[in-house]
Amino acid sequence: MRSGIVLSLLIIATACKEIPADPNRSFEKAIGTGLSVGYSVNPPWVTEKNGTPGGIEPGILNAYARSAGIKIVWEKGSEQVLLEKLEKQELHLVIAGLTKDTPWKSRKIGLTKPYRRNDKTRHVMAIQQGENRLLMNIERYFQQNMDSLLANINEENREF
Amino acid sequence: MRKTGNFEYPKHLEKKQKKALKIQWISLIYLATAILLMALVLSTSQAMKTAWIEDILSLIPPLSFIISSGIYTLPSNDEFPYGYHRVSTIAFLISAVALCAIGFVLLADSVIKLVRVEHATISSVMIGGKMVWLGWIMIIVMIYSTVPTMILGRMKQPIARELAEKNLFTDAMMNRANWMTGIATIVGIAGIGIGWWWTDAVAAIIICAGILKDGFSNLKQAVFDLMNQVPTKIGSEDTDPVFLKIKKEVEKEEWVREAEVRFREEGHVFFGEIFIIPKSLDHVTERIQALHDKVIKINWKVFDVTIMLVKSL
Repeated sequence: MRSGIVLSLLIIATACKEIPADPNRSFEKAIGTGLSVGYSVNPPWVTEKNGTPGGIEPGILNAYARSAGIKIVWEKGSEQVLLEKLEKQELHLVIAGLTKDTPWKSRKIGLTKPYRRNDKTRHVMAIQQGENRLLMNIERYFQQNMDSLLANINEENREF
Repeated sequence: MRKTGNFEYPKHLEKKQKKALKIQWISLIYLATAILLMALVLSTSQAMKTAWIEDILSLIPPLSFIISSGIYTLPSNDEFPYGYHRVSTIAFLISAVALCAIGFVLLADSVIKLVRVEHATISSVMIGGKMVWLGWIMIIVMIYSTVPTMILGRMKQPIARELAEKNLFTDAMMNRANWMTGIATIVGIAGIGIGWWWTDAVAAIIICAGILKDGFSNLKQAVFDLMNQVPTKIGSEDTDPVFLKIKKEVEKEEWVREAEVRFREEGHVFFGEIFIIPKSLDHVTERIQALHDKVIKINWKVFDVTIMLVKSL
């Protein structure tokens, strides 16, 4: 038992800075070539104006990208098509006004924690399955910035 | 024939029985807390889920020990003339079947996850202003759910031997072997931490192998018991030497020409038949009664014997 714990700690120690790591290096790729985000129009969570995504969720991601120094590569589509792409690891994130009880939760994707405190409907974003480093980074952003961010967005989108 | 009455442990073992009962209660309560904690942190880790279900299944042995402790002391009656001793064996069979069935289902589930290249998505929590990866917490919970189990197992084992309680003994052995589940799960989670997604499914498969091994060996033990296999010494496959001793004691009687014995286990007591070729039929009723009383005093586990006169063996 003791040797097992020591073994695990050794494994972890060899990669200490990167716990948790991304099996597909999503966070590294995001910093390098950009975060690929699929969006499906679903007001007020995701809207579109002149080919540019807007609304609550793109607002959150834009602010996150600014703070992390990351470029976002947007891709428009329907929820079905985008989530299938996410399953095939062709996207990093998908936003579509999804909630925690989406029927997609048992598929080959991951879901973030709800990005709003006290959210009864528990809105989340979909992330490539198992990319735990990217997930932690984004959830940390949710945690630290949510109140101020939603206050700003509140002013822009008077509904919700 | 032994008059129907409550089965009671000999005085020197009553204390051990009470201690065993206390340890099983502690096991139950501790397991309940471990199961609750694991449920909170499982996430989508296959290894953690498998370890969790294994823990749920391991509630059965202490539960059945506590329940059957109350039942098998009930006196035999017209409806159950052999008493209620077999209740514990039945409980043991049920738990063995559960282990086998659930073990298979989890094995299939884990292999499918591996083949479909499913990655475990494990989130983080805010603790004291810092984002902590849930994997660390899962590892701590795993240690909590493994180490006390091993300690409890070590406490149960000697008591099981003294009480000659096969099911308690098996429970103790399974508890002591829990280290394998603990290490597999922790290494699985550590692997996920460094990006080796497959360690999760592989760890789960290893845990399933352990579950199935326990399931099958317990199933064999329960089935043999119910088939009235000649009782074995606890912790071994050898026949209990008490039966040879009984045969020798019977043949010492000056009115006995030759004798054979046949015994079976009912829970943790023995019932049996003694076949005697007598030298003469003088005072045979008194002699049989006296022999009966002598035999059941040889060992506390020998509950009742039926003595039968025969012409040939």
